Amino acid sequence: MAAMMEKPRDVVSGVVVMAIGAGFLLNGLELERGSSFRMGPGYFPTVLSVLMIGLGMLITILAIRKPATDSGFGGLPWKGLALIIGATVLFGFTLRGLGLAPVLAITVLATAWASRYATLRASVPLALGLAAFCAFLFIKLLGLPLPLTGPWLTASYWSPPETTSSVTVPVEEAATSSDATRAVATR
Amino acid sequence: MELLGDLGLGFATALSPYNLLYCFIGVLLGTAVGVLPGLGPVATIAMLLPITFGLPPVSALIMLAGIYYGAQYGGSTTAILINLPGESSSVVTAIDGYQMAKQGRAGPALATAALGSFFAGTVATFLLVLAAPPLAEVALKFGPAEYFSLMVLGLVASVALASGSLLKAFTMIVLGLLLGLVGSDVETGTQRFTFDMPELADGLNFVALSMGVFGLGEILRNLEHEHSRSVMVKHVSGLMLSKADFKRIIGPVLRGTGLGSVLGILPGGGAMLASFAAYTMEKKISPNRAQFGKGAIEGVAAPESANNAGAQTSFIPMLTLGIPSNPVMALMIGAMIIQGITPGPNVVTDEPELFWGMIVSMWIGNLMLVLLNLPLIGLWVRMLTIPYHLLFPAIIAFCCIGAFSVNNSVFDVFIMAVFGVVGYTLIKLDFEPAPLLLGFVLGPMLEENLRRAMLLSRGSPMVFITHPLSLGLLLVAAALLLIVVLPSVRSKREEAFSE
Amino acid sequence: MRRLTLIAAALALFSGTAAAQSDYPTRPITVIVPFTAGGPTDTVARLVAEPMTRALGQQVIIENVGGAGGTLGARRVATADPDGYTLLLHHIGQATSASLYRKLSYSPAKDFAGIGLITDVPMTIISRADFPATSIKELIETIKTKKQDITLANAGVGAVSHLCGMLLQSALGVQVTTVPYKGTGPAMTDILGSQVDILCDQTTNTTGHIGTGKVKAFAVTTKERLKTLPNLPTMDESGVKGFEVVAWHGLYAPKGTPKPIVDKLAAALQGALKDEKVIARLADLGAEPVSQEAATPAALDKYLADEIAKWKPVIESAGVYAD
Repeated sequence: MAAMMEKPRDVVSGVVVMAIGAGFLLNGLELERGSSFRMGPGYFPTVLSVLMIGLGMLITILAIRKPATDSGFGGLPWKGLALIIGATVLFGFTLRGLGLAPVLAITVLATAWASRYATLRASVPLALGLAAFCAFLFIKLLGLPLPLTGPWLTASYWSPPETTSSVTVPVEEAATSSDATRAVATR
Repeated sequence: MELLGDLGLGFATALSPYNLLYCFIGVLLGTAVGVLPGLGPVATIAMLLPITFGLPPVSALIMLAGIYYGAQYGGSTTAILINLPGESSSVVTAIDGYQMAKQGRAGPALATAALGSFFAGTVATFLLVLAAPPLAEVALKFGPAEYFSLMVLGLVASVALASGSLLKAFTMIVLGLLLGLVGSDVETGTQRFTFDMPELADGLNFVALSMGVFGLGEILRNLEHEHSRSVMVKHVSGLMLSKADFKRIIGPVLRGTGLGSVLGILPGGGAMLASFAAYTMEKKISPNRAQFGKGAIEGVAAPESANNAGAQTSFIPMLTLGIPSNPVMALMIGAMIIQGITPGPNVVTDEPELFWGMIVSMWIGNLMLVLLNLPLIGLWVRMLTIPYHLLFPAIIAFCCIGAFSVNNSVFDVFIMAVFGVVGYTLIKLDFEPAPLLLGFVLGPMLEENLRRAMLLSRGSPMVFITHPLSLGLLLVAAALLLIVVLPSVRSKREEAFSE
Repeated sequence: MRRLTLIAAALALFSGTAAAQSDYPTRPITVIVPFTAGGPTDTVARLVAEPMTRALGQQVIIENVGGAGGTLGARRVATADPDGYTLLLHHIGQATSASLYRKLSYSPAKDFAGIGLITDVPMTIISRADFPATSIKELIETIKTKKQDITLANAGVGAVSHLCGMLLQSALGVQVTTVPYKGTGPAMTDILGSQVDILCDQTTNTTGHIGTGKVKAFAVTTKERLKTLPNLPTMDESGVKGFEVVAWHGLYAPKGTPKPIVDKLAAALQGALKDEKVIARLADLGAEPVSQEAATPAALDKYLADEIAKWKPVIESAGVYAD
């Protein structure tokens, strides 16, 4: 029960809270505050940021006054953090270019690697299976406005414009992608 | 009696094989999509809306209503199983539901959610039948001053959601309020904290925020503790409710239903408050209050009943006044317009078949949900026995798609990633995320109604006290604050002395 | 450069011949609606998409890209390839965003090629049921005498109700207390609950309530009286000369779209506006399709320019901006 507040962690917490409060306060400085009778857009942000800073101070002070009990941080799973957040961001950047199915496969493969138990034998089928399942569900059934495979996967996208006439068009891919979008029917 | 005739018409409409089929399809689709992590009711309906456009109006609306509560139900399932709330009301269910699941009691938690929802849905539907028009009139008495006081009450109540430090819970609420400020100021259109990104003009998206803080944050936490080649749940004890469980949930279900039915009628976010008002109430009066936050079955029963009751009664302002009480109702109104029906007070008289058919179908849909989901509980629970290292990549994939689907924009995927880091940091610093999300949802409404009330009263803060309803709500909030804060202050002091 | 590549790729992919435009369209066409599914603009889009699909022989898909008062979706189209496969269906906001948003990253006037006007949704001026005035004349008198004591609701900065309110204040030369809401729903709730005094909103939202007497209606904002609400005078005949606000909708392609493609789309649009089902559904909304001459590129381009010019001084003198 005595370990309700753990010293280093709560000192950090308090400082983080103060920093967030200060960040909002500084960013909201140019907003017009108005008066308490006619509040401007800056009134609420100012009150809340100041409150936030106050709360941060309180957390810090309480934490310092308490005896240290436990470091309580634990390690940081850098690999997991980088892989998962990275894969999510990559998903965002490549979704329209690559299309849903390839992007999903990549995302699943990358995130699976965040686990120490990931094996290629399990992850690859998982990635392919999920990609196929989601592509079918979201594009075919639910009509999400996304291509199955995106323009980056067509040969003509990468070839210089003057040679386009001679480009062999990946017909199958183009056909499936337009088929997929066609399922987005507005009846 | 006229009512019987109306009900007869309703049953005749809803029970026609065609409509029954669409009701079933709606409920099934809603559950199926809603249960996917990352996809809550709003995203589900927005996605499935076009499917209904080709149907006759009655069938279309019956199906949409089915999708709505099916998705809501599915959302609760995900909240319980993997701690991923797809909308504000299931944030609360996730607190104790997920703890139950971790203890191997996902079966009883899901059964409680199903039975509680069905009971609440039945009661609320009766309320809808008996008293929709007069109730809607009462709802109109709620002006900005009353809503402000209601939001204050809600914020005070949300402190009680946290099981750890009160100070930290309060900090999370304030952080939620601050995040809720992002976007265009409603009154002046001024951009606040948008960093010149037009994508932020409408504020941060709830789904992206929730998927980041809860979904990605929780996954990172789990990976950190990935000590064994583990599945999430080691042993699963019983799928159904025991007699003792059953006894424990009766009270919470009844109280939750009552609270949810009343709050759901208020178009300005009442239904949103229902689930956690019910949770807070149970946490204060339940004999098992010490267990709350650690897997109390009451903590699932009360908010789930309140949530479903509120979901049903939120149709009252929509059907009788044409006023959308939440984003889903706004979509329903859009569907009506596309179907050539002008929503508003005329619907009852001009389209009795639609009005009564839809109400009756809601009850039938709820019944279908229970029948559909009770047998599925075994399946869901078995899902938890999938090794975690195979489960979490799938969750992330669905979260990405879910975040994208909100606005068909990858911007929300990036927001989700950012809040994944934020959520993990919060976990590391021992902050609980539930109060943050409620602050985020309630904050904009709090500010909006405060400023609107002051505008309408020409700058006099007395409105909050001279309006009896508003005064009453503020008094309740003050009382609640005392109840919440006093015991913890006292125990803090004792603690300090004992050291 | 990439854009060129893309066009070339599109040509190579989908026609294989140089005469791509005459084959147009060879794949589904996406119409971006810059608002959420189920809203009034989305409704209009879905209504015309169906007959246009039949006329063009390719699926016309609606994609909802909501946010920032419609500017996010519009920006997407402004920067899309001008190949006729990405179009924009926008309302009056296309004209007002030019003045409401000072930091717009595209130009509503220069970055689009108009295809045609679609429909005008008229607006009505209504008040709470227990408001003292009984006619538009009395209402105008009351507004002029009570000024700041009158509360005028709107559905948020940039909404049509906001525009109508601004125009009303500038036409009458008075400032009232403006009370903004997030959308028409909550604004209407407070009118019904007698929390605010006046609202000017589209017939789509008001006609039902006017019929039951839960709100008082004073006037319509169109040039002529409406068939659906024949008893309501126009603002013009009530002494506010030239007062006209309609929530008009137009269909646009990105600037640079080849003329044959634009013309083909305009023809499909004109056909859609003659479709009986479209006419009937628009009538349910209290609206009518525009005349065939107005559903043309030239008419839309001119109307857009006129509307941008009309709203600029109103918005600037009100000093209200959305960014």
